[in-house]
Amino acid sequence: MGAERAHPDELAFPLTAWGRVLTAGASDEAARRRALEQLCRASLRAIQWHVRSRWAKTDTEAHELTQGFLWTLLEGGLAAPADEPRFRSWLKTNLGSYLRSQRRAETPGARAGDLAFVPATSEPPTWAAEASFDELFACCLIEDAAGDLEGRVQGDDLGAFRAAYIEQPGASAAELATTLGIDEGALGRSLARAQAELSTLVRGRLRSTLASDRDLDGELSLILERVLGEDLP
Amino acid sequence: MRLPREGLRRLAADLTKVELDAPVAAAQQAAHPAEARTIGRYRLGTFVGRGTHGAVWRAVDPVLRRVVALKVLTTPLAEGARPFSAPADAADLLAATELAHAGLVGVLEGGVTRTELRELGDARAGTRRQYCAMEWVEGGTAAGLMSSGALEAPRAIELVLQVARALSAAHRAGLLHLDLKPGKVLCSPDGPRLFDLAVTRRLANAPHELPFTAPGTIGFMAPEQAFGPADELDARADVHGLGATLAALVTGTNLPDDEDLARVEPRLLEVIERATDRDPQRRHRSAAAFAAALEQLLAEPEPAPAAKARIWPLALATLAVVLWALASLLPDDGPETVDELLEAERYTEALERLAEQPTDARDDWSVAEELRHLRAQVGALLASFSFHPADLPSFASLFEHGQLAGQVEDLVATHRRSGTTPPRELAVVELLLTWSTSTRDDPGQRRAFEDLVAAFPGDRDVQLAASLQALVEGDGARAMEAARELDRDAAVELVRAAADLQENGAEADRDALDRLAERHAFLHSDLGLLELDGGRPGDALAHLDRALASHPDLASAHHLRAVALDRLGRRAEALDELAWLVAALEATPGPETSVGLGELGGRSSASYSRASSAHLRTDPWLTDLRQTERYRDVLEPTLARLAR
Repeated sequence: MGAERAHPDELAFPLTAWGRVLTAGASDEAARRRALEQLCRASLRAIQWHVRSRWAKTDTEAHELTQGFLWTLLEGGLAAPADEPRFRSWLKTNLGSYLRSQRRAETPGARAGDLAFVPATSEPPTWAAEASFDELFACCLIEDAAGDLEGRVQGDDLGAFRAAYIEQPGASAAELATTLGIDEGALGRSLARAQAELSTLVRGRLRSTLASDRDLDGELSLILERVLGEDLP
Repeated sequence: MRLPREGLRRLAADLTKVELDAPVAAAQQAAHPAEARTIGRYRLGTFVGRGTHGAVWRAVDPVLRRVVALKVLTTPLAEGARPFSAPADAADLLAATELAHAGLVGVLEGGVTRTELRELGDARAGTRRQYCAMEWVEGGTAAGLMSSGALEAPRAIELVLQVARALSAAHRAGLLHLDLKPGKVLCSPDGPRLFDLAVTRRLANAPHELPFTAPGTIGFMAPEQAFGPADELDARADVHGLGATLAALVTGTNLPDDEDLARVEPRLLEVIERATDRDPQRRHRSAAAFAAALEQLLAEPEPAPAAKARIWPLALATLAVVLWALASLLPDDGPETVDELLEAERYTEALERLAEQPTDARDDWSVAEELRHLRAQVGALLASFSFHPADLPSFASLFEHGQLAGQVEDLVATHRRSGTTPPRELAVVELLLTWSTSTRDDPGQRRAFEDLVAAFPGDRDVQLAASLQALVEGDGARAMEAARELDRDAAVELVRAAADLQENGAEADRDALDRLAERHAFLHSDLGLLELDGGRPGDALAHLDRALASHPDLASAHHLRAVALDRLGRRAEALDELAWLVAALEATPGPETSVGLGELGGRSSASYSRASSAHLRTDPWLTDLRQTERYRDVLEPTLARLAR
């Protein structure tokens, strides 16, 4: 019977990407690296915007620092806490540590060899200069999730979403309805469907950055508060 | 898709509303179109379902912005009855809210509501019901897994094994579940999690408008639970529930008949039948013992490698002896129960003598009665001590009357200042206080013993205490020398045997140890050590299992069992054993989790946890296990943290 012992994974859902990074053993190094790279790629814009805006770097410097940071991260060259349940917190700690060490050394960022996973152009918005890393992380995550809405909601719902949040974010419901040529009830239903789908997409992206689903509600509240500019209690 | 700042903020505000209001809107749509309902501060969302004793909603805590599971008891609370009014109810709920374990769904708080709940048949608001807020966990129950038939035996065993481990933690905190069944186990992404711990039982115990209905489910509850007094139930009632749950999972039916059970693998059936025996005395003694039986079931014997030499693990081997022998400092006639102790004539006389002391007699009198209770409690506790570090806080909690402990210390100090010898009763209580709150490397402990010996040079119990102290300090020769002067009795014999082990290792008097082990089963742990040292891991395992059968949480036995299993080539089980021990050490409360005098216990158990963790990291018998990936990646980081 011992040989047939159930693997713990059979009793639970698959691990998240961050869960794989935290629990992977030495023999799972390749899987760990893949999971970490996947998370890093999803966070690239937030990292790069943060480096450019908050550390007052030029485009080139920000690009090199971001590249160097991610390369160092993937090579395991940073002493990060191994039991941090949130990837965001882990990333922030390491990014601060890396940038401070680079500043002390007064050297450009570590080269990543031929590895070029940071896009050369990634213009941060003007408000990024005032934003914390958490806020940038949250905004980028929501934007990326919104990008996935196309194809997942109907055209009318997507149109309502674009109008409300991209084209006329300051408009009232009545103004939006007029612009779209529909009544307010239809607008409300379209937006509700898009919001519900987006909520699912945001949760899915966020889940991959956590060690446990137990933290999901709390993390979601936190990133929404960051975007809203509210302080945590 | 790039969004402007204003659009992002608007979107975040709308998503926040979606997150907070969706459950409420769904509930409104389903039941109450015009009214948002709250219970306490929680906003009711989706109605999850109704069970025998209560109904559950998904709800939102708007203050902490999190989703919770809100359980409301079906039966109304009687008018005028205070919720959680019995001290035991309040204590259980408090313990449940403080208990944190990965295998248990956390209990957040309890309260009373008058909210109209049509799902429970209310026609109007005003019915008083008790409710309990719990952590929300995604996932279906184990009962859902059975909907497509029986589970494969290994999977069912693994699932129930994890539940048993979680339940063991709850039992250590003094909590019983009493309604175990597949429907109480959530299969979450992080593994199985048991819910409703202490909730149904305690809520149901309050005075109700309707006749009391015993919590529990036919087919799963133990016979004594259905027919016996509730205050006589113990962990074995939950063991019955575990066994019945396992039976249900492997047969695919809640009430398996003989034909269903005939298809179960014989060794598994044996474990199930023992766990569900009508006679609680014949069941596994605890959830931990049941878990050990399941682990054994999953084990696969393999050839044994050659034995290796090792360093004698003195610190672990002697702790049990010392704690047991401390109990012998109670009166010689050895009352076995608290009541007997309270009635012991010798003790009463001692207290009377205490009251006649010339110094501060009035103060002595003021503590005499409490002192009597204190020693009675200490005696009862030591007699049943399981020697697990997690027990230390409960040991220290005996001294929860901080004022009393202070009075004891003040009285002893008063005597010393005035040049008089403190009454022996006081000195012994002070010694016990010191023992419960200090560590073996604490110089204060050594001084306390020296003071005691100096004050009572001819006292047999004090000499025994001095011998014990030498034993703890690892000075076997001095311990034997001190014990040699004493009359021969059970306690002295035990101390001599322990000292013999320390001094002579494998050359110790084996006959004496075998004889003593018949009366004190924990000594099988030491015998296991001897067998391991002699290169006989199979025999060692048998002794260690006997020790764990009576003392399931004996840390030293778990440690040695890992060594024995490794020697037998059963490495996966050895690592499981180590993982169990590490988890137990990790779960040991630290000083930050304790309050008042309980803090002393927290400090003491944290110290024990540190010492045990350090020992696991350096024990040469575990060298090979420490090279494994699982040890390095999973256990070592935890041990390193604990050892700091």
